[in-house]
Amino acid sequence: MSSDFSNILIWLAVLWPLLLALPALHQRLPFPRHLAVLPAAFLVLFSADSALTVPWLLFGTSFSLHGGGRWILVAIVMLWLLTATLLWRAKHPAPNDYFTTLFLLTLSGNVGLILAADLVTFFCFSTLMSYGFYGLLIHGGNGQVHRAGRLYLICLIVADLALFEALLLAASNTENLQFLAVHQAMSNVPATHFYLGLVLTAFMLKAGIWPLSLWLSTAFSAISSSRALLLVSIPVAAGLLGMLRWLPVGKHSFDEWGLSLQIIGVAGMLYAAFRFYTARQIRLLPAYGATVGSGLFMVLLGVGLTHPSLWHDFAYLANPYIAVSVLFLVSLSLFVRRAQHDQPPDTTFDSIKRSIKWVEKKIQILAQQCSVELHRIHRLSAIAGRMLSRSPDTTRSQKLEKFMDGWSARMIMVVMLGLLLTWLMI
Amino acid sequence: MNWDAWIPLLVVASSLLPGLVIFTLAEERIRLRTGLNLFGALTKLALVGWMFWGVYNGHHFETRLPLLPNLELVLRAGPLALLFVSLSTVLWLVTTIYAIGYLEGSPHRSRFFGFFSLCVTATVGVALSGNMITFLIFYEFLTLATYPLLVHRGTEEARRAGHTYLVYTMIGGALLLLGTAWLYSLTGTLEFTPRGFLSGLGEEHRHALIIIFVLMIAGLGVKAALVPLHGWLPLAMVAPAPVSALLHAVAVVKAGAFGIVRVVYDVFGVDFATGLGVMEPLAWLAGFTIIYGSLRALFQDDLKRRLAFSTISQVSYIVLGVAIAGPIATIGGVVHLVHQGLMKITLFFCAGNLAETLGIHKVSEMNGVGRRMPWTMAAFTIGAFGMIGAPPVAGFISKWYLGMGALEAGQSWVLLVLAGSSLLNAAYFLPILHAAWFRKSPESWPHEHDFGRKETAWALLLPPLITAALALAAGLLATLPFSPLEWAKLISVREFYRP
Repeated sequence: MSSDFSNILIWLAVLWPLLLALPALHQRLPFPRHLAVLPAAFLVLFSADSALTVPWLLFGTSFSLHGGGRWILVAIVMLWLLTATLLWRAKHPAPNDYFTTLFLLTLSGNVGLILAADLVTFFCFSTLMSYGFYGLLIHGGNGQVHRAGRLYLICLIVADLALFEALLLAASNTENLQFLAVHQAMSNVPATHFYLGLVLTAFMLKAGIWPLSLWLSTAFSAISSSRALLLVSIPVAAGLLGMLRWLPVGKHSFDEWGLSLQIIGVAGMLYAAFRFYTARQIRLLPAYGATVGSGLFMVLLGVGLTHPSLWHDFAYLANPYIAVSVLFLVSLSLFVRRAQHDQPPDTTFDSIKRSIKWVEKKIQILAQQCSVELHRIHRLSAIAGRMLSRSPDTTRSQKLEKFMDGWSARMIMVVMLGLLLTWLMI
Repeated sequence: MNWDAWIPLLVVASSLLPGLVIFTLAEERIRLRTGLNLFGALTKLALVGWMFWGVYNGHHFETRLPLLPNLELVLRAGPLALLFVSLSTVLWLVTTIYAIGYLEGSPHRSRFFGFFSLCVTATVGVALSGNMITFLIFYEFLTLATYPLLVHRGTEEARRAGHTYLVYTMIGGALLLLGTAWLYSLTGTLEFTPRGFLSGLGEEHRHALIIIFVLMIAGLGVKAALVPLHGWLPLAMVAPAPVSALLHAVAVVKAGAFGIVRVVYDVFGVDFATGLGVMEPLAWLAGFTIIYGSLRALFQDDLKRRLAFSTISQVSYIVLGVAIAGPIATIGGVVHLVHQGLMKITLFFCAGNLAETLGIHKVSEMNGVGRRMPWTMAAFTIGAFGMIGAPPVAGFISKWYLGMGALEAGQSWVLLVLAGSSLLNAAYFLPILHAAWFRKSPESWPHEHDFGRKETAWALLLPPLITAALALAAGLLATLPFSPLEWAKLISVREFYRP
């Protein structure tokens, strides 16, 4: 596949949904929402790894599609196609409604930020996606959704301000705002900690990561299930991707930040499990699943910030993790949708109660297994640490030993606990 | 005089002469009046385009006419002058089209369009002024030409607003005149010079120069609506929408802000002014005005009044960029002269459309208006996002350069001002957008006019769409040659911070 063709597909993936967003156009086409996703789907399927720089656009816009980004784009394309299909089947909304415009604007922003290769482009598409998403969130919603929308909007405005300040800090330290150059430039300058704080706050707000996840659960309890697919995946995926792209992970050791992220991640996972267990509303499962998933990512990111050398060993997993999270959350949403949809209206509540009881039972059984497994892992890790200390490959053994030492070893256990909790929820 | 020496004069005359002829036309000579208006606007556009190309390639356009002994009326087209002239010319054309549609069927149109042309003549004169005395003449001419437009409706409220405007601007003009005369007595020249013409003055004049600076900034600050000299601007929103657009985006407030740029860079010189210690207080005043204007806008239910307080805030970005005293911040300030104009005129056009088509004057009446007037509200949305500073609209570029300039100059507090302003802009613009797009429409509008299948008349709809597209293009294509940003960089290099 030639690079020209790939570049055309990159353009189309971003611009085609924008063009279709014009009501005069999409109202005349069959399946406009599906059609809008097609260039992105073609890009994923047929394009080789590619990069496109447009020097005359904004401050010089650049896009790229490489291994990691492709994973996420695959998941996002599947998500949007699925949502478009569900909306079509539900005959929602009416053809002359602005919902489709908002849908397509959000789609364009979402695809654009995945393809963005520099900070300004990412920020630009993130803004488009976020405000479009706000529209999707509150469109036709009741009072509760509007309250959630207001919360989201406040979070969004504060997040964008923080990102803008971070952007200025980065630009004042390097002329090249491509992600890799920014990682290099912002890893060890006086403003690094401020930059890290701004970026983390911004994306935690945007993604609804605990403890800044207020809007997510509020919105989720009132929104229709078709839109819930988007609600739970789009901001979370964009937020996690943003952290991955903006933070100089693996360049320098940031012990305090790393530790903080690990604590936040673990606390978020436990909070989600606890809230789900006490709330007993199965429709909130994807929202809490998202909190667990993002919590786990925060732990991984925290480990990366604390141990940059180790990050290089598992950095390649970060993008696929986000992609898998998206697909996982989509599956979770579909499961909940089906659980609610299969029952006649008068027995829905019974179905939920049955589901909760089933989950409780599974928790009881598997919690015992979990404790046994954790104990075993703990012992194994201690043994592995001792063995590696005697290994001839001293550099690697030191790295691993350092990693297994102290908080990180406990973190691994808690990460596994988080995974188990999520699985148990299902 | 060669041909190049005539062009600045012709640019001024291209609106002056049609304006004078229009005064003499009877009300029913609609076609001739419209033809003269458009002929003047298009001629000016062509002449400015010619100068634009010439200045870029190093040509010198200057008209000198004897005025008083030792004083000449000088019209000169440097890069900074051309930035303002281009803005005025392009927006005059668009506003003329809008005004033709807006005033259709209303009385006293010849009077209106006559003064409208004089107003643009004065603005272009202000922009092209090559010395302080020429600037002063056109600056006062602008005051007088704008007053009849303000009171055009002839209501009691309009007369009160006009009276307030006149009192403020006359006092401002007097202060400026006093400062200018004092300056002339010290230097014997008033010729605008890159990097200023005061560096030769000794330390013994320090206090006098500080007072002169304060007098001149106060005189200009009235039109630029710097707090506490802004009182006239919110009242002036009683004027018809095209006049509001002209006041807020093209002529009056811009003349004030442009004057401050001239005084700081071409009279005092930025280094000299920094040495006098006057730049930091100016920056603080601008910062305060930015926040104050936004805070006041937050509590206005009248749409045009909200936009007026927004102007008070946004115009001070220009002053802030100048007062930070660094090349990057200057680029941000100067380019905002154009960007603010494009975005604010869009918003005023849209406000006018809502008033003319549906009788909507208040934010609380805007529920669901996005469905009734989608194109108008789409343009309004672009303008509002630009004001917030969201990418890729032009406002983002201005804020970017102001922020970068503040960091470069070590004035990090400016970032807080920018963040606070963006937050407040979001707080008073986003509820409007929310109401317009997501709330249910009322069963009937306050005063609806029927335009058939169209949402409103073409003459009212096209101008905001054009200016919204320009605001978007100014952001998206900021790095293309001849974009406002690239021209502001040229100004910074050629006029302010020559290596």
